[in-house]
Amino acid sequence: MKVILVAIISACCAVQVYADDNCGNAVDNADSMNVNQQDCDYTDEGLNGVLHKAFKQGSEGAVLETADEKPVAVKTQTATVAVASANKATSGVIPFMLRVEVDQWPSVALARTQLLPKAMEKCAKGFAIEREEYRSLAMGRIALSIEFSCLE
Amino acid sequence: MKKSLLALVIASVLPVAAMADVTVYGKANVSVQNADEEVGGSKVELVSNASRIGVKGGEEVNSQLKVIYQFEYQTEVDDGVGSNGQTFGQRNIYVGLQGSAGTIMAGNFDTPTKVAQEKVDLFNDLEGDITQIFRGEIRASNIVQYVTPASWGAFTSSIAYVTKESDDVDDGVSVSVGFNTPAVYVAVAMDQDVEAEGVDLIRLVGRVTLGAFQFGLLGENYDNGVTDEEDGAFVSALWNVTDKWALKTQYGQSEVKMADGESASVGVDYKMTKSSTLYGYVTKVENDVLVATAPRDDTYVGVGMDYKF
Repeated sequence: MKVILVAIISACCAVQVYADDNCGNAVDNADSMNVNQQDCDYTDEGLNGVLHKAFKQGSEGAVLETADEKPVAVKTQTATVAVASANKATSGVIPFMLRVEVDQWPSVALARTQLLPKAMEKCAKGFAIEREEYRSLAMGRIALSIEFSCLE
Repeated sequence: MKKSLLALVIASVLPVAAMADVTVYGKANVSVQNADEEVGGSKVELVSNASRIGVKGGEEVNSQLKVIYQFEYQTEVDDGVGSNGQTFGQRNIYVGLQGSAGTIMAGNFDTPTKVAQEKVDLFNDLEGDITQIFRGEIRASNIVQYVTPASWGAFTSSIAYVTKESDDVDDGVSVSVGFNTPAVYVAVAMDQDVEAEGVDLIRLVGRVTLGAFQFGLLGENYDNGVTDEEDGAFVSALWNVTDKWALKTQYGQSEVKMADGESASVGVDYKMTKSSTLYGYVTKVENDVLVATAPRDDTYVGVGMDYKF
């Protein structure tokens, strides 16, 4: 009985771990009608990716292109960029902010690490971190915001 | 219109916030097949296999609650006209509230019994679809559903109430309970008065994934309240030969939809990219007609392409 119980609990935990790597196509996720499915980031995929980039280009001041590839295995939301200036930041007095949302605390470290190379893309000579914010969102999600300033 | 130009046009008329938590998706699936049918003869046809476009997303109300929604429409890539005579047909559409206690949603969408098939039907939306010989593949209108929360882990239960919006007809109930992991999936589902008043259906589904192999099993019991209860069973197997090539087959025998109904399919998939797949199939559907209506001794041979966006 104990062995069966451990096996069931392990299977449940295995689901959670595996689910972090199971981002299929958006149409398959929708077709499954699984409302408890993890949130996957499709902002760089297909028509959805094109629309998201178009909106980024259309929003005021948000012109910076980020070099994201495929939907991440870690549950992260779209990394949105709020820029203090429309120009590429090259001065330390013009900070910019990068934001990411994750579903759980263990994912925060990886998500934070992924923001750093994006900041480096904006700053030719390096950057400094001015401020970090962690906000609690609905459903236990966490929003991480980091304010960067480029080094002169 | 180029994809980038279309995107900019859409972006210019919608607010930036509209894209915050929205996913636009869809797929185009077409196949060219030779259909040799008992009724209808032999013909070559281009078929759009449940091609669709949709939007889904959500918005957080507070730390405990989130609004979710999905709007999905079928489009006929082959001839632009669906069975309803329209360009677009309604697929799964719902709006709901999701919280730590579960999700409640309402709209027009697949019943829990239909969803319970999971991935065992390897020829879903093609001529080998289990709907040829099984029932319970219902996308219900006026359906309200509760789904257990994600905190239940691998266990999920869905309970749906299908309103017939009539004082003279009993409303329907569809329930499913499942245990779902990447390696193993088992589920039991039941419909009562969903297809029609007095019609009950029970479905059992199992799926096992062992490395490159996947095996599926489905069993069904159907009682229309008039004739004898009918049963059916179905098995499927998939072999991922490489990360691009897959072989698959399935066979079902069922009295549920037609006398001595049988469906057998073999197929091959070639995954060109994560989003695009070429495929080929041979499907045979036949029955033993006791009354001289709707005889089936049909063979379909086709090749197609599935592109997901």
